[in-house]
Amino acid sequence: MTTEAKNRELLLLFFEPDEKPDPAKKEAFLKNVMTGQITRATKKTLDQMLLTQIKYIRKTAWLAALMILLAAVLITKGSPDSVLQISALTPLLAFVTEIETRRSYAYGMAELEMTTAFSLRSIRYARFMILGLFDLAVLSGISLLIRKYIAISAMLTLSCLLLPFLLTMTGALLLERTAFGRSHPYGSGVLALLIAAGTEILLLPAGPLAMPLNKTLIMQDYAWVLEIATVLMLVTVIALFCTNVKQEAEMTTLWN
Amino acid sequence: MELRIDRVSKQYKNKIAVDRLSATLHTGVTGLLGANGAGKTTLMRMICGVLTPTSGEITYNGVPVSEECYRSVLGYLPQEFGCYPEFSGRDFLLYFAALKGMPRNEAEIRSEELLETVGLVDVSKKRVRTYSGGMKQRLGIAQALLNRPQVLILDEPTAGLDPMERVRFRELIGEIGKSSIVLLSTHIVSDVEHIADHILMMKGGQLLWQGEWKESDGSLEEFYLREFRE
Repeated sequence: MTTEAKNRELLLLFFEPDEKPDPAKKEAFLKNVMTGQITRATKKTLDQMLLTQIKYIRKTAWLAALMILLAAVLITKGSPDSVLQISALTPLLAFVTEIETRRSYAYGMAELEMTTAFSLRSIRYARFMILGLFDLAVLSGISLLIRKYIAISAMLTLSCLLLPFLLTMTGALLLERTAFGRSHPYGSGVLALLIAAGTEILLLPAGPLAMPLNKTLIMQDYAWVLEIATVLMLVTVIALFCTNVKQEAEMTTLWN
Repeated sequence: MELRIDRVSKQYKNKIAVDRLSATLHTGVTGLLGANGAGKTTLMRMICGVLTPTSGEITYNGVPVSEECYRSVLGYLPQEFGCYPEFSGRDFLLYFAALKGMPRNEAEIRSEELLETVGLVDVSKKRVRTYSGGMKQRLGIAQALLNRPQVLILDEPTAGLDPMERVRFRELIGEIGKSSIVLLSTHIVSDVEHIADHILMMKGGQLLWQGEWKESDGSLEEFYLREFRE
């Protein structure tokens, strides 16, 4: 076959009409095209979205954790006997974290954020994960610092720090489900202050859980109770957060 | 392009906000008319996937509106919206561009373009909380257009706009309607009279009337008042 003949054959192949696709499959085809296109775009920018959320988390949320770290450093240097009283600051950190995850509602942005590709649900999960991990890292750092002054296990130290934090988060998430909590987003601040005050009273040098610096912590015998309680509370907080986000997706009570 | 609303209802305890409403929207501008409390906003929220219907289904090209892929082609302007206090106009658009999955470069170019279109370039670096009601509304319209939506839902978009802004807005929407599905709700008939190809009229959660409206059909406002009086 000459080159010209081959070219003519190729041209005919291009312009010859193919069999018409089955019209019954049109909708499925359109759906696949759209979801395929969007899935590729979404995957490409998912990490971008997470980075975006880090950028849009307010500085106060980061500063709150760093302030507690600074307080821990100052207290351990100045008054090592009171080192575990740092636990009384963690409810305030929990309050700042919880408020940051639901800013959308506090500032009337929720309805708009619900209609974007990365919707409000993703935003809340992203903020919760980012701030939760950051807070955990800071508190773990503080627990290592405390262990220099008190001879107790790392897990128990972390439990002492996390329990007031998780208790505040649990209370704040439960409050979020109520009409009062939804219309008063800063109401969980009062809860945080109460838990902070209660923790402070419990851990005062002359208080019921007083612990001399170089002696074994009185509650070390019951460390396993505290550690299990911490794990259970952590699971509770995560479960409460997930169900809250799922309920908010409907927002029926908001518009009743 | 087809947005299908199939026997959709929304019930809250002892109130039916939307009652078995069916309609199919195609490319072009559809005006949704009705008095306050007719169910327009509830219907629009269901179309945007913000509210789940009690019964019935809403699909876009066969895809349920609850799916993420639909939100990628959706632009929405709610009746009221807020803003984070630290955001400027530009920050607001860039934030939503990020949430709509737009790459940074594209987001910046598109935001500039839209700020120019809605006349907010001069105040784009100022905090949104310093904006007037009309400026905020224009910013909201810009936000809805970021991702060049195939489905554009606008709830009372001309509220707070002065007469000249309303004319500009109608021209903009008319242009967009040539290649997208636009649903525009209002209780001001003149907002849709000259740009809407298709009209839906709601009352008490039900669809009172739907159909094409041409200038030769006469005054839409008179027809609307007559229908609602009956």
